[in-house]
Amino acid sequence: MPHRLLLVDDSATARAFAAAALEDAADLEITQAASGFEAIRILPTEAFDLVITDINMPDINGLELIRFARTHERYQETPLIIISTEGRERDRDKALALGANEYLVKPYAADQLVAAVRRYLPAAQVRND
Amino acid sequence: MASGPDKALTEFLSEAQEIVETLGANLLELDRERAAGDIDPDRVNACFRAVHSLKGLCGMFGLTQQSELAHRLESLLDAIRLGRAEPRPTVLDVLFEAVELFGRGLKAAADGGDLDAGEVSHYLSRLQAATEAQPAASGETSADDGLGGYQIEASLLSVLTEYEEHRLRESIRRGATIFRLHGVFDLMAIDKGIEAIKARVKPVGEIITYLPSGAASDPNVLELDILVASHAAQSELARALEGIDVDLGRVPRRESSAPIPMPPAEPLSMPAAAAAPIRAPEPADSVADAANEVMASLRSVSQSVRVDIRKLDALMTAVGELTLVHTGLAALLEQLIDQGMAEESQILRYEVRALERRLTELQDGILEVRMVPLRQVFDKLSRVVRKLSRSLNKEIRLEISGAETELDKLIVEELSDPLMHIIRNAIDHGLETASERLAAGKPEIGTIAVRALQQGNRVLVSVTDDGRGIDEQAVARAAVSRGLIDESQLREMTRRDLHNLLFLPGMSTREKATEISGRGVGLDVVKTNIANLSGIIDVSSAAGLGTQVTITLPITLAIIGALITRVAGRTYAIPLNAVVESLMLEPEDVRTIEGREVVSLRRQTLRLVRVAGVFGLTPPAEPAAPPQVASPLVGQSELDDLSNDHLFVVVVGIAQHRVGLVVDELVGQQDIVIKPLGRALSGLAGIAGATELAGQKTVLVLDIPSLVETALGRGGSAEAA
Repeated sequence: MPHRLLLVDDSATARAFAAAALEDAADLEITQAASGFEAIRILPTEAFDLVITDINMPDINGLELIRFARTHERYQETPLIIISTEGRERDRDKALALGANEYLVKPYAADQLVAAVRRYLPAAQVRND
Repeated sequence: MASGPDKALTEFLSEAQEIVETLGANLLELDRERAAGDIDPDRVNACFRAVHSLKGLCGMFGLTQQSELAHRLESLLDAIRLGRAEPRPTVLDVLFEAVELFGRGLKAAADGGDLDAGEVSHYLSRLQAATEAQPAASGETSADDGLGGYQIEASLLSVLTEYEEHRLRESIRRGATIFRLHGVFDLMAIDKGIEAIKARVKPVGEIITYLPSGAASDPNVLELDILVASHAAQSELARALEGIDVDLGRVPRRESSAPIPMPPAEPLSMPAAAAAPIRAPEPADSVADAANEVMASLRSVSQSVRVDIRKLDALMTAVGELTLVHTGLAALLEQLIDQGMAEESQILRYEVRALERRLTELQDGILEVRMVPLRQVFDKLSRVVRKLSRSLNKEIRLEISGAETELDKLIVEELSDPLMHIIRNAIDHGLETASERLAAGKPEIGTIAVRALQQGNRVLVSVTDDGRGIDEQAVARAAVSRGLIDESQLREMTRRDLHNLLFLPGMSTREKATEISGRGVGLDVVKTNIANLSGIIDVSSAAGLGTQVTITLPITLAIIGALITRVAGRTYAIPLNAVVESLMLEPEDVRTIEGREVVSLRRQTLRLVRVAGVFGLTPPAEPAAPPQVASPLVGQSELDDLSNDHLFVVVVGIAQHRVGLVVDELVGQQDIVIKPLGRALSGLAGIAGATELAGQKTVLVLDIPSLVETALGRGGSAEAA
């Protein structure tokens, strides 16, 4: 069974980039959400092994999403990786305080993201190619 | 057809182009709002989002220069968004430049290139300079916590992004009241519900953030707290939200705005509200109405499709082919009726008529798809005026109206340069300096008005300035001294003729071109460009009051009006936009000068071109039957009265050049769809394409620019043909 991952970002380009990097590197089932609302709708009905979210999104931002997830029984311990922007240390610190496990700063390299995911999903099958 | 990477690139370019245009439009609005002292934070945010998206897109396509450019702009706009930098005019100047820079960059990207690294680094250093000159932004490090005594729980603050927190503090600083909306939303329809609330709140306030509550008893609903900053009274906000099922309350505030320790609070628990929540009174189903309303407007945006204009051209050609099929069927029907089968062919008659109606619908539909509003061009003009106004230190008021007027996309794109030229002229030559204006008793600030208006199948675009007007004497002197006209012609001229002398090549009343309007291109080029769009340009002026340049354009080039003529038993179509007038002359009117046939027309010499001669045609022994075309210009009885010695001359013109085309017969006027000739015939001189006429085979459409050029002996090698 591949690990299930939720990828939240309002930028389609950013999602495509992250999904491509992860799909190439590991056997993952990736679900994409284009907004905080979409993520909140999906989270309770599914069981994800890891959530990656952008912070700066309109309407429901990444911080609110983290808190939402952490108050949900199913996602108390689920690894949460946040993607933040250069010069937004305060957002990053807030996210970590709310229970995010790790952060990446945009623009990041594909292998940085892959390495972060592997840290939390060591069992994710690594492709040999 | 584009596929694979090509297609991705095409889509990228089109998406990026759209974003750049949005950025330009938002910057203009921002500049206007700044001048009015009331900047909409959403405006700055929209600019920020535009460059943010560009950064991502350019990065994906390996455009490192443009990606870097977008990255730096993003940082600056982010700083403005967060109130750390101010959108001062000097900063906006540099931002506006970026719009042009991206425009060039995307053009380069289309050819597999990118912006020049030197150009970008030069730009970035100026960007740096403009931002560094900023005074330390009014920080939020005042004595208190910036929350003005509002009792906002730490748990709430902990989920606000830096930007949201900035908006909250900024709103409080500006004296807004902070409200909290609370509602329960159906999880599946939450987007609609939120859009409805956004639409209602936007006119009276700003939504800071949406706070979802984690613990809901029903998994199908989501409880949301929405933080709103507004300068409106609670009752007004309640009215705006009428019909939407949410509780509205004011976030409690302490009387003294001294800093207060943040009370520890349960997530999302609302401190006792200062005012009792007001439940909006309308029944719940009107929420759905409001939501539908919003969705309708969203849908119109999301349902659009980008189409390459060449695909529409191909569709138009297909419609032309279908028209031929229809013609064939109609001919078959006639034959059947002639053979006494009128009864039996009844159904065919209905079907042929239905086909005709549908074809017209299809043709109209395709034309409609090609239409785009002029806004895109007008926004570009606004940027140019703003830039010139600042670089000349000459304040200019630009009035724009009719930006929603629609024209064929190809025309809109080609209109931008000519309009830009006219506006530069108006600013440079038309508008006086502030002191000259004051001395003339005019308002200190000059006005340029750009207006568009649709009139039937034509669109009028005018550029009017309230400047000094055209100096008719200077224009006349210049035209005569340069030998463009002689004294006798000058005496015949109306004032309007005088004004239009400006469109002659080599006309410039100034000795030396200035940096603004002098680009080595004269108004004659503008006129030619407009003529290429089948447009007409006209100028009128009143001394001391101003100048108006009017451009009349067809709304599309896909269908044009044509004059149908007969030459040596063959039919030719002449595009009506090139036709100045048609004349009937006696053979003795024709003189020969230097081996060329000419006639005198209102004291001017008109060069004649015998169309039969151009195509090496000899008249047929028996005149062919006149073709069946609607509304003949000359009635059959009239034709019979005319002796064969008469000459029919169609005076055609490109810009100010005139030539008389000699034809045997004027048949009528008709709308035609021009089809390009096949490759084998594409080099045919004097022919622009082909078209089909009802009841006839394909007829050729004359290429007026090339015929005029050949006749007047400039360049063209077609004379040998």
